[in-house]
Amino acid sequence: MKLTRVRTTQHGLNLALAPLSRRVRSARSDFFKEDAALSVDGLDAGIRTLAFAMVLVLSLLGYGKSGPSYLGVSVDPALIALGLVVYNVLVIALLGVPWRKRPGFGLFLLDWLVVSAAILFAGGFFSPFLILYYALIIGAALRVGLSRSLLLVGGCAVVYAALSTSRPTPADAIHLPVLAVGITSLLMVAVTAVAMKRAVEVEGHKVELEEQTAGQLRLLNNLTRVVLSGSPDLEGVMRTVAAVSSRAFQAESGMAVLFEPGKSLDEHDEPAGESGYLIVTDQDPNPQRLSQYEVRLAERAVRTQAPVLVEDVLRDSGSERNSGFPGLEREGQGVRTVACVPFLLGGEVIGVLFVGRYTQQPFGEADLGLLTAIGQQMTVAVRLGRLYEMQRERASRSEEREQLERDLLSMVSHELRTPLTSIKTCVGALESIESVAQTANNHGSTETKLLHNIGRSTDRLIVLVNELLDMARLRAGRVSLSLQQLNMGEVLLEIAAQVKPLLDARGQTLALDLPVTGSPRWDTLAVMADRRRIEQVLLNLLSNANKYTPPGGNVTLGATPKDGQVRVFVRDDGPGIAPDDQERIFEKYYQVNSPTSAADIRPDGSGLGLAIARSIVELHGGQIGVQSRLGRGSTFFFALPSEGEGVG
Amino acid sequence: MKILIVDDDPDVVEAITLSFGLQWPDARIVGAKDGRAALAAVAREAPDVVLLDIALPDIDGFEVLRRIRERSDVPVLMISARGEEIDKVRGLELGADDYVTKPFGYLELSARIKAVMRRAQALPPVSGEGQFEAGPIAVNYATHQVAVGGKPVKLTPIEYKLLYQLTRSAGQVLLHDQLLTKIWGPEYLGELDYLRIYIRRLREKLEQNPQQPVYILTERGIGYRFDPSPQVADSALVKA
Repeated sequence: MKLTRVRTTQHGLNLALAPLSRRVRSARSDFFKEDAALSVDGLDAGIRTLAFAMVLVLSLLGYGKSGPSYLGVSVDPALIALGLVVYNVLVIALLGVPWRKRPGFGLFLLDWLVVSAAILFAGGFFSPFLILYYALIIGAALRVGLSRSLLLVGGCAVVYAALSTSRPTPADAIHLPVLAVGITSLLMVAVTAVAMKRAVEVEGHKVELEEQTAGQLRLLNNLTRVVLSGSPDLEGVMRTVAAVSSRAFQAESGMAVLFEPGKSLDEHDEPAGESGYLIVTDQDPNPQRLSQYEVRLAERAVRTQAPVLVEDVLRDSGSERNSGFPGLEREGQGVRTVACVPFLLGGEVIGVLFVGRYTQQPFGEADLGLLTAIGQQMTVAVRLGRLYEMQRERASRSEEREQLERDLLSMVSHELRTPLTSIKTCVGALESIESVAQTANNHGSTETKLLHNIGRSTDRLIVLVNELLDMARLRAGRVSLSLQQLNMGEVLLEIAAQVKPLLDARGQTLALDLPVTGSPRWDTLAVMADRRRIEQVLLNLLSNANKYTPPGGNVTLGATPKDGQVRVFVRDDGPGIAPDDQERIFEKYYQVNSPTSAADIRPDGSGLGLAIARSIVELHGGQIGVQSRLGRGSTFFFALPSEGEGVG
Repeated sequence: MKILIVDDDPDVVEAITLSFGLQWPDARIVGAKDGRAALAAVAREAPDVVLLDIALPDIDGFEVLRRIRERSDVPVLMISARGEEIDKVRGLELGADDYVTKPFGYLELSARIKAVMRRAQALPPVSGEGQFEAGPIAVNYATHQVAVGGKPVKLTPIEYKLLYQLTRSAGQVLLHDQLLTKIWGPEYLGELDYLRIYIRRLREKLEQNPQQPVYILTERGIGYRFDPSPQVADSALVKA
């Protein structure tokens, strides 16, 4: 029944509990709060119950025996039990009466009076109810400090001494040492209880701090994960930051703001949507604007480049209550305590985080560390977001450009082809007339020369257009090969016959380096290839050799089997190619601008020939390359997978 | 000789007309600038050869070709600025005799026209052996008649020439380039698309199941072979 009382008076003992419970309420761990409250009240109740049981047992033992003794209880145990019941009923009834200032103290006083009366009537010096004093002292000591406990012990000692000398105990029966021991043990109990309470408190505080640190680390960790996940959604990251911060500080409100670059802060009380800056809160899905007060706080953070902490918004000069933090007007409440943390990017404040509490519960040094860390995370998120945005823009722009280039190439080439057809046809027809005339005159007239000039230029233009279109198609992957089994030797013989007139015209010799036709070695030159495309590659290599080798030079065309491949080469004894150029000549549009080039060589191609050749060879699963030294000629080669031996 | 040129660019039509006029003074050249005019001209003029552009303002050149083929076997050369493989294959499949990519030279074009007309007319010389038979397929070399299971099958000149080459060397592999040179000419070396399309047409006309041919066989990457006595106990063959 005492237990019941203790529980029901839990609120009544508020005097003693208040300092601890306030601290506990501020603790981050609800679990610890429950645990601490239970330990004090439980201990108290346990001791009281134990004391009560001992009193009953002692009264049973002593009842009916006469003579002065420590067990000389002259009251019927039934009456004692009845008294306790009555007392508790009284206490429960009294709970309904509003205790004015110190309900806990009042109850203690009541307890004390009742216990004292029990001692007085149940034996005085010999009364076993002294034990109830211990319980009282322990209960008080668990809740108040050492000095108050000692004061209580002093009070109890005086009262007990007085009661001991009163009736029914005769004065001569009182042993002073025993009395002193009783009072001293009261003192010891009080000190022990206070020390225990201190130990429990210290331990609880430690656990609380650890929990807090662990919680903060967890939050920071989660935040880092969100930030580093590379989410391009900056608003989402801001929303997380706002929510996480308000949770981390047991604050009711969190709000992240990104300023609009190149705009003064004064302008940020415009509606967010129009002005281009970004507000995200954990409460209002669509915050409209910053309040004047928030702008002023942000300005302070920008100026100091450090977190601004406001203990009490009401006392912060010039602030109006509820002027900020959207959605906080509920229940007449508003933000009392604010932290405003700047996001620093390269020495510039790009935004701020507001964390606000309804209660006046200031942010401390420990909070500052976490606030700063959150601000840094936000900065990282913004930086990553901007980088991502930049990258994406760049990628899409370059893709657009490439598509445009392909479309343009394709369009231009098609549109050029039709008029070129007319020109070529006309020139061809005119040349056939002219050739009749020329045969008659036996020398080239000016008109014939002009006509030939047009013809040559047209042909060059056609080659150019075809190369552009070929390149566009190869790059778009729109070229499919018609593979057939070919003997490279045969292909080379035919090509050689085709290009011989071209080389003859420049007084160059064309040598062939091939195995004997029909020999076993000849058969090793079999490949799977698209005849037209491979001929295109060979013609390109040979026309380059023809163009860049001085008149009277030598060109060699050959093929050999090598390492499961058929290696085809075109060798010349021209000026050669500088090492730097060798690396780049297979790139599209690249043209060698070599001072060693003979005067009659001009780069008249599209610069695409070798790039096309490379694409075609690679499409066949082969490789292309060049070996050259300046002044010692060049060897262009390509290798195609061999189709095995003896097949032809 | 009458040549129909279908192209929406009047300069191209004029250039070809004038240059052909120089080379073949007796040729009559008719121009058409769109698909409708082309179809009308084919019906009205009965040309000996048609040069047909793909990009026409009203009807697509492929569609024009399809409609021409519905009623005429006149040799058709597709001329196009589009050099895409797929366009060429599509033109040939629709029954074009050749496909020339712009810009072409005057000499090239006239050579192609001559080749097309030669292929369309000339048939291989009459062979002394007279008759070839393999299963249900019968070829009479003397009359150029072909029959499957006793029913006569109508082949175009090129189809017949291809079958002639295959059956004359029945059992042997004929290389791609051999066939191309013999039927189309040496300038068609490597033009496997032509060969592939005509082989498919022959199979459609002669084989029981063109998707799984038993007589006209593909030697992948090498060429084609006619198998005179397929070792297939297939139901398809029994039925045939």
